[in-house]
Amino acid sequence: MPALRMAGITKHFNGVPACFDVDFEVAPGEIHGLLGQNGAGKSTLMNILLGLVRPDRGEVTLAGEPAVIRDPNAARALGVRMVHQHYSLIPTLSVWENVVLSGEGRVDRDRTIGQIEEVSERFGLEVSPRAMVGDLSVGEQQRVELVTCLIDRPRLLVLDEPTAVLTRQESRSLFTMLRRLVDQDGCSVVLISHNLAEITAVAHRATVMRGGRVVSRVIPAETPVTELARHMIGRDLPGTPDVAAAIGADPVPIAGEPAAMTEPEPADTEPVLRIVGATATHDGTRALDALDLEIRAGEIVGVAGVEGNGQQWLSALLAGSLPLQDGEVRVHGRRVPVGRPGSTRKAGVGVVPEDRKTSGCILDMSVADNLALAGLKSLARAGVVSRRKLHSLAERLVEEFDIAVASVDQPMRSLSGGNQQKVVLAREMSAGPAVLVLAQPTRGLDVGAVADLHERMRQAAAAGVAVLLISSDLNEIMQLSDRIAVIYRGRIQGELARAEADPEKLGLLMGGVSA
Amino acid sequence: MAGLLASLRGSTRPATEQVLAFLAFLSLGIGVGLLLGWATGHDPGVILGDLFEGSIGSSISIGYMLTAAAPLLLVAVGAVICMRAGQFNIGQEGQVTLGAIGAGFVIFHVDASGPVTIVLAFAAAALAGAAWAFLAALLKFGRGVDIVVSSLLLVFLAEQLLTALISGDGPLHDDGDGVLGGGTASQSPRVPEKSMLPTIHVLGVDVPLAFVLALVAAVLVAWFLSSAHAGYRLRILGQNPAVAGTIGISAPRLGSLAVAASGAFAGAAGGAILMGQSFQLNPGVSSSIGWSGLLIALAARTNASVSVLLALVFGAMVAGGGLLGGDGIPVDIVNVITAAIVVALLCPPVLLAALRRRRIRRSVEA
Ligand SMILES: Nc1ncnc2c1ncn2[C@@H]1O[C@H](COP(=O)(O)OP(=O)(O)OP(=O)(O)O)[C@@H](O)[C@H]1O
Ligand SMILES: [Mg+2]
Repeated sequence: MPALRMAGITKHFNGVPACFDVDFEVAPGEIHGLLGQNGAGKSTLMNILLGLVRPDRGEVTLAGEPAVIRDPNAARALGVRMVHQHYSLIPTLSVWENVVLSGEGRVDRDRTIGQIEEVSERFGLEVSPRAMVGDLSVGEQQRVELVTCLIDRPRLLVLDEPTAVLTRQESRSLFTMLRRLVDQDGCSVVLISHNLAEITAVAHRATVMRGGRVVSRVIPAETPVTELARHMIGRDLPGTPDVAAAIGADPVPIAGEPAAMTEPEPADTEPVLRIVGATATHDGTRALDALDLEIRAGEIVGVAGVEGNGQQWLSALLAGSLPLQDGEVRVHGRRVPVGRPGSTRKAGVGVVPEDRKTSGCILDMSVADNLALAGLKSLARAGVVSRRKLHSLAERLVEEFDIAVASVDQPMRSLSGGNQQKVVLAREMSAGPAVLVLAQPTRGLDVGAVADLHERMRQAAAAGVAVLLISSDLNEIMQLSDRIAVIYRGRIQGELARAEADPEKLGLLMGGVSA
Repeated sequence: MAGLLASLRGSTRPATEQVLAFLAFLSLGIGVGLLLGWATGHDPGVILGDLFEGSIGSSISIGYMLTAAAPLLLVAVGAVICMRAGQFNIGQEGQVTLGAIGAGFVIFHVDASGPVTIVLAFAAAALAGAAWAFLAALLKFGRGVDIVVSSLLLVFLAEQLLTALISGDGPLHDDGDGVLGGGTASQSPRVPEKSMLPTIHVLGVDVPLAFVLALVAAVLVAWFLSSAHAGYRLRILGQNPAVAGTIGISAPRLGSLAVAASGAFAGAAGGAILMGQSFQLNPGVSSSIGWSGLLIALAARTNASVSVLLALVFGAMVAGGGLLGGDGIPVDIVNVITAAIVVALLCPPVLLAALRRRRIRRSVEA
């Protein structure tokens, strides 16, 4: 008897199906992968299971019992828990307080702390119950969410793109924990991920969705990733190294020089972006510490580093929202008054921030408005924004960047996670920047979209844009960058050309060892 | 022009739903109010009759209602602007007072023809209200004082200022030439006839000029927020200051402007009160219209079109309440009914907000 069975689930949003006649089954004690392109309906299906979205039709059966789940509390009572990609923790409260809040029981500090410690020990999830959530890294916050779920000893745990924000190490320990959970506790896990290699490694079975329907059910370990990708996208992916990397397949050995995509730029050209001795503090702690960085036209420079070493401040600096105490930023040789609203954008710097929901888009405005944000002025005549121009711009970008929307007037909030990311990417990449800063740009994107984005980055560089890629994915950095700068404690610890970079050298630099 | 109309339609379309909810909850509110009146021993039939008679029962009543609604609507429209920009200026009451003072200076100290005086008085009123609100913005962006606190404190300061100006040796004090006992009370002279706001005769109703102005203001502001480039920027600032910053919107600059604009509308309301209703400055000249206007904007969920409807309801209550006294019913009952209506009107926004929060929770996935 399956642990979970969803039958004939259909859900329309404004007449457009997000899930259509979906049958979904999870066996007891298995890790079940849920795959699909951006907007395929994965999150919607799981939100239906959790009672967050009410389906038009369909039935849910848990361990053979028909279940009516109207809200997350009902789901919880039935032993179903979910970790959403964006956490619902309250940053100003401590870990144990957050755990209490998510429950429905009484506030009993010692008992809760005891429970947290027990669970974290049993599953090897390190959390300190008294720590303030706001001080924790994303990975730690995810552990808090997990502990919160696991305290209830759920029968079924749903994880929506949990690894998108984790480092490789963290992902690995997450999977170890999940295996223990299914093996020892007989819990079932639904794992949504765009990383096919991950699915292959940990999922016993997988369901692939496309356009709101289930297109196949596979055993990932026995299915080549290229085939998985084909199921998802509905056609063969081109066999370029980009695609291979995107789907997590071993890079296809390519005859000749794999790195011969861009010509090494003449070193004597004036850099487009030049950051010299950038020093800044935020809330009394050092954010950037005499950071130097140069990018020339046509160059892709990757910034690698352990999360929390100043990456977000580098991106904030280039978004014009971090004032400097010392040092300067120059674009095309001209000094930019960073810290002043819009200063860097005016100088031709486009930034796709890591946290798209809070600093990249406006969730309560329409998709069209969000696509036009940066260029509103050019759409206005005599101070009035032309709706016609706004729409045609939005339609063009939606088409060009393959964003799944029912209408460009749809609120940004209603887009799937990956499609929200695409909106931000489309806006910044289409604005014709001189410097393009991309922080974790592939987070949440499906394999096709990742390959597409990488291709676009190369095209942008080829067209003379100076591209700065900030990513915690070393493979992505090594695959795309002409030059790799390692950031450590707010400064550039060392730089390596693509030819001389290898994971070992990078690892040393990332650990603070000088090259 | 077609574009203007289209954008207006665009900005009011979502309001149709709200209008229906509005009417349903309005009736509910009146019902509850009448019930309360009945519980305190007053005939609901009489109350309803008076309210009806006094507000829309005759063309004269309608004129009264519109007169009362005009300043309320002006204040509300201004409040919509600053709320949309994310600036919680709640000191409209003080800005109304300053507007009345500004208008008073022109009316009592500038010697000009009627129309010129009226135009100048409105300009001075708007300017004074804007300046008063701008002070609050300065405190916020310069000194980091929460604007809720600073704008509120300025309300009390405005009252003191008005009292000082209209009493004793104040420049707006009525010396009471030849009037028995005149010259002692804290009040200004009466507004001369030439400076009283005219009315426009439409379909048998004398529509006060102030109401026409307020209505035009509401329409323009709705259009401005939905279509003008500056309106977009204002909404972006209100929705997400972080994103606003990256596209070159300076919160101190645009935020202060929005606050000043809301103050200008409140100030204009003060002018409308002085020239259209009270015809004299006295310590209570603003008569809580700033508070009520703010309430209207909030209850209308910062929607300019819905504010028009609400202002009319408030105006009707004020105008209709005037008749109750004659029937021996305490006018307080009107406040009770108004309160019931507001509570009822706030229900749909609260409900909608709850629904929206659910929707947000639903979409917390990625
Ligand atoms: N509240 C909503 N209103 C309107 N449309 C919605 C809403 N929620 C989801 N959709 C639409 O339903 C479709 C499926 O969305 P869903 O979030 O389930 O995709 P997903 O498979 O999780 O994609 P991703 O990998 O990008 O997270 C999308 O096209 C999305 O725009
Ligand atoms: Mg999703």
